[in-house]
Amino acid sequence: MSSRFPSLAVALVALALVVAQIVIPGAAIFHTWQYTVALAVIGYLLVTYATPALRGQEGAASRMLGAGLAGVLIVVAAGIASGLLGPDTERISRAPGTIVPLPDIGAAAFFSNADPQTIASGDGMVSLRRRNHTDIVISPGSHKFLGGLMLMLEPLPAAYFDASDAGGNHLTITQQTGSTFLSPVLLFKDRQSIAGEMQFVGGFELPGAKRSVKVVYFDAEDVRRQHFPVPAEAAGKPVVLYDLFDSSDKSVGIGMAPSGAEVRVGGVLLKATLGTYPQLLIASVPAPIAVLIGLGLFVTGLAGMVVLQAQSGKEARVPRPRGA
Amino acid sequence: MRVLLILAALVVVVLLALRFYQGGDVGAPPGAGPAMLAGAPAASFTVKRLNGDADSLADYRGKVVLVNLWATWCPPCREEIPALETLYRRYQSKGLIVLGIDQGESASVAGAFARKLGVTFPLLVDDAQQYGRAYAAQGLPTSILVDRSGHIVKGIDGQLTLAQMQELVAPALK
Repeated sequence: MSSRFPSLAVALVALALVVAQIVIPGAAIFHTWQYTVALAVIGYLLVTYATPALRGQEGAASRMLGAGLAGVLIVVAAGIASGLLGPDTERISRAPGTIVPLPDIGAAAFFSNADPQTIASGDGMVSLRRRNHTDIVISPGSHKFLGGLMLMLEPLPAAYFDASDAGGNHLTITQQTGSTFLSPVLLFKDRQSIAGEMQFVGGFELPGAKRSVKVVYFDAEDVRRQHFPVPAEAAGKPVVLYDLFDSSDKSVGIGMAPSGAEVRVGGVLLKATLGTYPQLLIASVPAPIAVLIGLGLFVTGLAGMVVLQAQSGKEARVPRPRGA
Repeated sequence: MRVLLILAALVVVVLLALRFYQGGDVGAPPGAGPAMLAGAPAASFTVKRLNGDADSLADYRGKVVLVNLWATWCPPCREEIPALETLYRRYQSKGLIVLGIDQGESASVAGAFARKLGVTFPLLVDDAQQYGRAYAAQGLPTSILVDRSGHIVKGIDGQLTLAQMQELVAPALK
């Protein structure tokens, strides 16, 4: 009886630690040795509590508790497995309309195509295609399980650029240092300290006009705080700052424009539609099946213990027949 | 002791099950760039021809199509176009289509350039650069050979000679 409450406390801590992998997927702590050791110690404690309980040393109710603790042990094993054996968290960001092979999970990720409206509304999606399986479509805000992996989307600041020369001719946009060479969509993954604050930065090239463009993304709050000289209609909108260079890397102009507005800089006309586009987060999590089985066993064991305890309490209160 | 052994066995079984459960079958080819797309269905987007009519790769189903992604500012693309024109004229009667898809430029720019070089194969203008992204172009030019069923035979990064083009398309035309 005396070990029931400590064992239940340990079980609840164990469940919290493992379920945390599902609630906050991708946190680096789940792949550290400290986390694994903590779970292993908890697992050892659970074994020491569960062993006498399953032997029924404290009655049938304790046997039910032992079964429940065995269930928690399954959850702990799943937690250790995902932390220790599961792959490290991966964040994959690619331009809209591209395909990324993911050989580790036997799939290919299809990043949905996006026009300026999709970027502005942040509605980009990612589909995971596996041979002989139906596609797994992950939309913003949702998550999907694939074995011991959780797949979800994280929004990245993004801009869809349009560029044309002085004659109004459309210009090719390339990203020689980006993950996708031929993309007018720039995903802001890097940050740089500007005027004491970290801002998203990126860049692209306009080979047809022999220009390279550095871009800084300022969100609406930055614009308000830093009093940028933007038109009144830009209030409450994010803006981009363009810094253009010629083929000899000489600066040829700096300009700033809010989302959806054109600006002429360095002999070219530029327009950015600002918003977000998702990156795919693949995080190792405890296999949902193992967690469900373990939790099921724990709840059943706990319920069984309570029922049996209640029954034995009633039996203890039944008065002995007279004359016995 | 027996209970401990059962519990230990349970843990091992769960660990092994997780390991097997994670390793699905491999459905994506390895590598990067256009080469990784061999065998995949060819992506198609409706864009405009030089004359403004809508057109797409899918409209050429049943033909062997050599898709060539190019731009007028790209020197190797400009060098490659005469060989593409020769290839088209030589194999058109056998069911080959050379489909030039300009990446990111205006029809007027691409059209003026094509007229200067006497290009007769179909030219599309993809100002949103959708084909370039879908075919994982790592530079220009990029060539993609698509078979009669609409599947990618091979994706090639960089300029090709006429001899290389002929070697590429000949098996698909048989």
